[in-house]
Amino acid sequence: MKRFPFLARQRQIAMYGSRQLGCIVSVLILIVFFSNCTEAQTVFSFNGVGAVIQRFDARSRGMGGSGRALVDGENFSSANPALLAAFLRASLNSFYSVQLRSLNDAKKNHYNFTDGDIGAFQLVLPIRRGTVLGIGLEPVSILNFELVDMVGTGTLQHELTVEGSGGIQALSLGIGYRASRKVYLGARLDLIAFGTINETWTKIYNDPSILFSQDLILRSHRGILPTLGVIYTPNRSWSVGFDIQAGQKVRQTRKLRNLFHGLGIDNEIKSESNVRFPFKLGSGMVYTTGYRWLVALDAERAFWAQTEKGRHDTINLSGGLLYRTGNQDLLVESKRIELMAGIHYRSLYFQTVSGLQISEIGGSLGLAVPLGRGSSKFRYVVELGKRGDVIRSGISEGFILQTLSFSGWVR
Amino acid sequence: MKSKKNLYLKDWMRRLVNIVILLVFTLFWACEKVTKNPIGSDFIGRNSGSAFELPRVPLSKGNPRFEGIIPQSLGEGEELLLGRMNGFVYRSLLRFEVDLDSMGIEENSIDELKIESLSLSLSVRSSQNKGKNDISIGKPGIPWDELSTFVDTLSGIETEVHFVPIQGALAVLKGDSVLMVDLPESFIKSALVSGPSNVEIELILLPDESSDFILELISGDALDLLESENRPKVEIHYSMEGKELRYVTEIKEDTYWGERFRGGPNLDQLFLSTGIVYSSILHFKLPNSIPIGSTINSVKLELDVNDEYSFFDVFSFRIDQITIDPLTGDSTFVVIENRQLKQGGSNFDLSLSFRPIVQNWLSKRYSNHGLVLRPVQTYSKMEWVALRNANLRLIYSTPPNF
Repeated sequence: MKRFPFLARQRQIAMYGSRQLGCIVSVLILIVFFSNCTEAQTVFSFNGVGAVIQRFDARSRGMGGSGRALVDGENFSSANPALLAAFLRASLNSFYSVQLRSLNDAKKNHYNFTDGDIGAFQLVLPIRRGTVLGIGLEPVSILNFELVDMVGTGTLQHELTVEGSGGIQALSLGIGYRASRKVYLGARLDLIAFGTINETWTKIYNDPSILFSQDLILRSHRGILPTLGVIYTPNRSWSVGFDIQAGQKVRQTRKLRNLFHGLGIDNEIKSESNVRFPFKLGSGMVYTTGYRWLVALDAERAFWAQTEKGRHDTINLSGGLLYRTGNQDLLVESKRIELMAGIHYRSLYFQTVSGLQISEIGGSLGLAVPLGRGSSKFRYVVELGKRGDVIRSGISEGFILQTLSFSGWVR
Repeated sequence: MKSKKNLYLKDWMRRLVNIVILLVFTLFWACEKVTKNPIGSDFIGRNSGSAFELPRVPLSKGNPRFEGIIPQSLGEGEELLLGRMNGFVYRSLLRFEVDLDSMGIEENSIDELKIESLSLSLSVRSSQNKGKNDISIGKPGIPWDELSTFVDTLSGIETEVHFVPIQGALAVLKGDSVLMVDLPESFIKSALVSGPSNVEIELILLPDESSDFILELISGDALDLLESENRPKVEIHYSMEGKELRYVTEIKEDTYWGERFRGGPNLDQLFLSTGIVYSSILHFKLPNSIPIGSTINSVKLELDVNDEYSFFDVFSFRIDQITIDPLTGDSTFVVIENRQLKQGGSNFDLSLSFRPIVQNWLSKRYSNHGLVLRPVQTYSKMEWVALRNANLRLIYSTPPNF
């Protein structure tokens, strides 16, 4: 308490935080309950294990996906597990995303799609001095793909419909430890045990006398992905962070069920294999003037090419800044609003027919509004960007992604 | 303090309301109708599986199956069958009555009767003359009438009908329309002399052993206006007291029946028949080249009717699946579909009902014991179908690469 007088004051004045948070969580549950939207992601996500989720919270998203070294006890990003060590109070975070995608292909066809997504749900629990546990249910990858195409010729010509959805979910168990005033350590295990990637392949023949076929492929995964992280804060203004995720094999079980399996007429075909997740290195840097301004830069490299032929190594570069309004002293009434902005460049690992790698660029803007006098916040982030290129990858995908997040202390 | 708290609560409520509005907005914004993505087929990167047609899955085994004889009284039908084909022989019995009074012959002047000719004319409705069509005529040695079935109901086999050949009787097919049977005058003279004034004459018509033909003759019970004029007739030309006279009378009773000849149809011939009931067992072996996980999309059974050796108008039959109890070895026939065969061969799309069965065979959940085609029994006439070139036409699709 004596070491952190500022935080002790926060604790005193946050009388209504938990009540508000409870209300917000109830609203979020209602949204989930009444929302029947399919999951959101990119048209490129059909390959491999789907589109890998960036493990950042809404604030980091608002800053272009940077912030793995932003250690202030409010950073729910799980990219760097050392961020847990900065939490002083039990806290909760969840978010919801909605996306508008705009597709263009080489034939100058244009299509729009909208879909929604429930993101991570995270709980942080300081258990003793300097040690913090983090538990979360987080998506590791996500897939949403639908296709209609005419295939074949002659009497066997048919309309092929492919629908892919789902993803890999993990129970994320993290631990953070503040080794000293300047050093934060962390480790995280992603227990991959949830989530299924489902694919439905339907062939409807032009000849009505030929009955349709429908094959369902279910992929489930089991495995553990470990990550280690460290953050070093040489002074109040600077901090640097590093994280490393070991390349791991995850057991994939595949089941093929044709149309007759549901009727009890045919057998399910099962097979198993290992799916490799890449070795990843991430680094980040934060500079803050104190309360008002904050700048973050992040870089990440993942070695996907070693996991399967045709995949590409990826690089993520992001940078962002945050500006806070109001008075730093919580005892002084003022509107404390956070404004965020950022840009990013990402290359994607997906195999492509052309063999060329798909890349993504984008920018983001965000706004955080406090709820009550505690640290509870509602965040709203808009990300705009473009993936792919009509010439290089046959398709370009523009996106507008809105993220709404609720976080705060748990009483 | 209280006013500050109230201000704070108002501010908080205002923020919450703004947030809820934003949430509702994004909810409806996100929940627009999602259309399928027409772009992106190049991003599948996997084989989606292909469709294949097997135009001909031939019979691995096919043979007829004798199911028994249905006792049928065919005397009240509008046709008589005569001939020999496919291992069956058809014989006809006719009875006609000669009335001496109608002929103007008194009993004491019968010696003066001179029979010039005695003929029986039968009109042919249809014929299949494949080979020799020699016909023998005899006098039956058993009692019969139009309700006789010629089947021993205890043993379930055909009754043997004895007869005595009539020497000098001759049957000639004139064109394709009339069968003329000339009887020797001595045959009827002796009957007329020895019998009462109304004399019943019985005949049996039967094909020779080396014959290979079928005649469908109009019977005495034909009701059709045109056919009724062509019912079987007996015509006697005779002379009496120097006068040449003619007597015509219609058949009083007639019937026919069929029986197996030398065991019935050949075992390598697919055959369906009513009366003497034959079904056909078909066994198609699915090729091993169909990958597991494939889906059967279409099943068509193609049956080629050998019209030259068949006799039917529209032949009703059913297609059954053969199942065998692994414990007892008992066979069971399970109806799949009822169908009809028409002249000239037929192509049956069995996809709806038969597709699951073939899928079962493919997945080896059920053993492939084949199919059986079984005639739907009619009780008014005998019909049969000779089949050839039975095969299955399959379309299947392989699963996507996974």
